[in-house]
Amino acid sequence: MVEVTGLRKEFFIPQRRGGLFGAVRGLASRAGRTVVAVDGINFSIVAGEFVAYLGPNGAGKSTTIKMLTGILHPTQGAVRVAGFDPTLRRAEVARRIGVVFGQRTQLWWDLPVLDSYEILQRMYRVPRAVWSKRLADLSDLLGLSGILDAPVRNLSLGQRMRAELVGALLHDPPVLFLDEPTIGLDIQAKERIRSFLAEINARGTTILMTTHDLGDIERLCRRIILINHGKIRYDGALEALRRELGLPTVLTVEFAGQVPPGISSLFAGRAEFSATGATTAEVRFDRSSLTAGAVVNALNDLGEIRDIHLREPAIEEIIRRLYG
Amino acid sequence: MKEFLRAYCLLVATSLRSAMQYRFSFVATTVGSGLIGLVDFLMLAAVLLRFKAIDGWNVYEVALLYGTSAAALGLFRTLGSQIYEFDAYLVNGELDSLLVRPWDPLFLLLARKFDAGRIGQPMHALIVTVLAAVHLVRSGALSPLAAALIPLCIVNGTLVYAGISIATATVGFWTTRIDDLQTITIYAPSTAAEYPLSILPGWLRGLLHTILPVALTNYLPLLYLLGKGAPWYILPVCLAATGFYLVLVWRFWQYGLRKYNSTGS
Repeated sequence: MVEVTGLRKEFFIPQRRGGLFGAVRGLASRAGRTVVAVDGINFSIVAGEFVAYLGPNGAGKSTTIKMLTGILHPTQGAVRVAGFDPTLRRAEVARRIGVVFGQRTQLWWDLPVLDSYEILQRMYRVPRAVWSKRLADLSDLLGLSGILDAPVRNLSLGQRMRAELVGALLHDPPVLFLDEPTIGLDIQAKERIRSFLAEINARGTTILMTTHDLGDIERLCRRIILINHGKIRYDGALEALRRELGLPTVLTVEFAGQVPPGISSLFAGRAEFSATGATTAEVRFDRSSLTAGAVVNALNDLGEIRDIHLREPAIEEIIRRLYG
Repeated sequence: MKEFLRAYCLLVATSLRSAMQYRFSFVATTVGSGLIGLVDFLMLAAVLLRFKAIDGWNVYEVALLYGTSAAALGLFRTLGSQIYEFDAYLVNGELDSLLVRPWDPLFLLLARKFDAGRIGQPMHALIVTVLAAVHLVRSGALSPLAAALIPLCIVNGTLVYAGISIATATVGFWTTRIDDLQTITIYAPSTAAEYPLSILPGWLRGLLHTILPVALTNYLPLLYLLGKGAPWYILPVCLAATGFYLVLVWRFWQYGLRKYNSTGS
């Protein structure tokens, strides 16, 4: 469904000048530097896969997605999406993909959601009957019926993301690209979107998703591709990566009194403990072998707990572990 | 072509519906742009009444130059407002959203916003054109047949301004900021085109016949239509030149799109 071979993208960053004629002068001058955003990557995604595309900010994720969707032209290398080269056949690819950018709306800001969907129906030449059936089905899955008449600008972030997803799927694309689809959402809204994506994927849509949310990945993606400094660092199952690295959740605990001395012998090596103050300590553990509840209960048995804070492992953490 | 027109109407209707979400602002800008046009016209009238004739063109002939050029510019600014404001799409990366659609981004931009609030500008220019043409026909300087060709000049001029603006927008793929440049490449030539180009120095006249070809919109056609010595075939030559210019601009735009760097995520 998606084939990437030797893909490379360089950006030329010109030296900026201010002033009225700065833009004109900038045109003539060649001063600047070349930055390699994507440095010769290869991967291939078959129909029906749900792949997480991960990396820290500036790793080249968005640049890759933009080349796959035909927004950017590669400096080198080849891309095929749904059988077409997005550089040469951008419109053909556009008809066969759905795209959702978490931070930017694809719908018409001032119009009711339904009006946007009607425009999309014509833009993608979806027969009217097929369109209404699909819309009924998708909005049923995502609980959209109450907001179809509201202008996009009046929607909450969670509502808007659901509306965007339906908009991206109305032409039934075989491939869906998602850039941070759950960014900024609360747990409930995230869950709703995750179960929707799981359902869409189960029906056969191939999905490539960037995210910083490990919850998204654990719940949805059997395969992850990890990119850093423009190169692919890992391509495989999440489980294998977890076995290799461990993905520690960090629990910070504050006791009412001193940190109890028995703390370091808890859970026989399945958790790491370190005191960070007289009354505070950090516990690192892997959620796949220990639940947060079990850890909190065990700690509470040792001494009265005043406060806890739970931090999920971030993508940045995984990268740090991979490269020390 | 039919699908193109239907799609265009759909998107323009959409933009009008969007504009109607803010009715007060819509009415205010319409009235405002009409007033600006009026002030513009009064300025020109003052100049014309002072000088009587400019380089052999009398008051009504210059009014016709002004009217056709301003109408063409006004029509372009009304129909293609988002090309003039393309800057914003580059700065905030909104062009990305247009590029994932199956329609050409240039078409989506053109159809994105029918800037109805600006309609006052071409309207006043058209009134000036009609008044000047009526007077010139009565005095025998303009034949009725030639007068009938003036709408063609205006349409041709609208295309020329669109071409200049698209070419300027394309420069944005390298420089990002182009709002100053749009003002220079659109408004400086259009102001020049309100007067007979023969009063300008040669290099500037050359520029306005080639890279920024506003001469095609009014000066060259009117040289023939007003019987100022140009042969009849200057009209088809102007139309062909506009077509050629648009092809070059289209190529340049396509080339620029390949260089598009987008913004960070």
